[in-house]
Amino acid sequence: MANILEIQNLSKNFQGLKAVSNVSFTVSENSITGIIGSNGAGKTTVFNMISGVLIPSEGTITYCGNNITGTKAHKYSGLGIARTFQIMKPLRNMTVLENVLSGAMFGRKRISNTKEAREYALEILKFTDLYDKKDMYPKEMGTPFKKRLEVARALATNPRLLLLDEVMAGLNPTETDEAIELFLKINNEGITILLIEHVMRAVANLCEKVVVMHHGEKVSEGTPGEVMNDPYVIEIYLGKEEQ
Amino acid sequence: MKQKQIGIRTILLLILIAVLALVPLWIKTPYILGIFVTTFYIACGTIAWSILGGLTGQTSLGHAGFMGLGAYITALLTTKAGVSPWICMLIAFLAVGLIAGILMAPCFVLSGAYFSLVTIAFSEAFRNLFINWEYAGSGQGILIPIKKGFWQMRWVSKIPYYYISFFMVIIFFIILRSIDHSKLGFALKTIREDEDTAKAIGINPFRYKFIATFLSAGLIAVVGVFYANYIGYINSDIMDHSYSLNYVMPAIIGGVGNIAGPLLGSAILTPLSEFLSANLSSVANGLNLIVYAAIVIVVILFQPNGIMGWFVHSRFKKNVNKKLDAVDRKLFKMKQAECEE
Repeated sequence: MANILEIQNLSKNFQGLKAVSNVSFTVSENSITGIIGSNGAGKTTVFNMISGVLIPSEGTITYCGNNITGTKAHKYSGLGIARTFQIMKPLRNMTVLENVLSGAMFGRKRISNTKEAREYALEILKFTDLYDKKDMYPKEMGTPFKKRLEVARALATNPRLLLLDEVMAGLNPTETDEAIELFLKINNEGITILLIEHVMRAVANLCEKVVVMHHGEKVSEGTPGEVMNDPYVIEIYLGKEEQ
Repeated sequence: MKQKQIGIRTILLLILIAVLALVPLWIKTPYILGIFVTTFYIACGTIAWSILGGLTGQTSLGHAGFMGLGAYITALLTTKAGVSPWICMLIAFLAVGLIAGILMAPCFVLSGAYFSLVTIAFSEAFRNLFINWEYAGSGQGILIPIKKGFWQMRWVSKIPYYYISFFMVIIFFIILRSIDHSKLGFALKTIREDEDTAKAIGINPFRYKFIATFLSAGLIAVVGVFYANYIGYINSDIMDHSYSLNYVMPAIIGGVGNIAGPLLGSAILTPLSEFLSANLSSVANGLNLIVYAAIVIVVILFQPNGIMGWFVHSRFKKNVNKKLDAVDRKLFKMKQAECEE
């Protein structure tokens, strides 16, 4: 499988602090890849660099063979990269439908006709099981639906690569299972997914490949099984056994 | 979306327009007509403001400056070059829109109060420029002599102004409504709600803020052209930043972010302030302003989203909609009534 995304020697300094240091990994097309790591490991910083919110201090990001390092944030969705935010950012004074409609009108689809965009947005809402909530405002819904709405809005831009930042945090096990189902469904449509997650059950069920970060560095990479049995990863998560 | 059908809502709206269009037949008192005209042009200004302040969420407190620029453009062009105010409207729209867009462009990265402060600075800068500019009458202002006629937009009677301003309200509202429903509107609203999200779905905030500023400042300049010809005299005081509040307050009271908000707000606030100043200022000096302020504070305290902000989420709206739908079904035998505004 070809690589849709290649990260090479990516680093980011915030003045004196090296938040990400020399991270390299690849995401192959049509796969689900996960980034895990403890809080402050630099996962979101990597995400922000891939989605153009931050400009890397060093290193390159190659998407579909093109170097996209330092491209402005608003150009990414046109390239086919969509993202969600760790802290949910629903458009508060707009209904669920309008939230998704915004995504449909811009992004890679760029539908100028309001009517067509509305139909497309309704399709996305059906796909993500939000159809019956289309006239609600985000504040009237619970966390799981708000998270879903984030995903739906990102999906409406018609991405090839979907970046999900902790979309399963704060969900109970049943809701997590529903979310996992949704992401598998999205992946089946041919959309590559790169996700940050703390919920190990979700990572184990979803990801074909997992990248483990710690203190801004990549410490391990492999299938969920391999990674979880890596002695160093266990040490990071659970501490070292006393001799 | 289904095809539009004529329902009770459209009929009520048409009745309202018809009643307003016939008002000058009954009411001949210039004072009352004046209140109507003021309400109308304040409503236009508020609508223009709300393209930037309501839809885009960039609270400008410098719109008096742009309105004043429009007024000065027509005052200078009409008195010095004899250009018709109607053409001045177009010139003011384009010129002031561009000036505002270019001046504000570096400030688009600012948000919240910082943006507002910069806009105050701009309007004050314009005011000081015109106070000191002798060609534009400096502190004395410009008197626009009465040359009667449609082409000159000058009449002694208030009735023609009534119709012009009324027509302007309708046009401005249609403009605001079509922006709100268009792709542009969605871009602006997304930027208002969250700029990071806007970028993430491919909206270039800079570009759309420029368009919003252009339209907003350009339209309020048209209001300025009307104002100058209606009053017949302008000076740089109209650019005072406190005048900007004339366009901000109705939008806030009516409901920022809802297109009917600015209309409703100015329909309530302008007559209210006129009524209070006519009845209370004789009782005690400044009492009218105190009462006005108290009313505004109470509304903001209890309905921070404005009247429309409350209405949209209220049970009252559902009840009203139900009743109107029932009328629709009875009268027009619609299966499912269309939900207009």
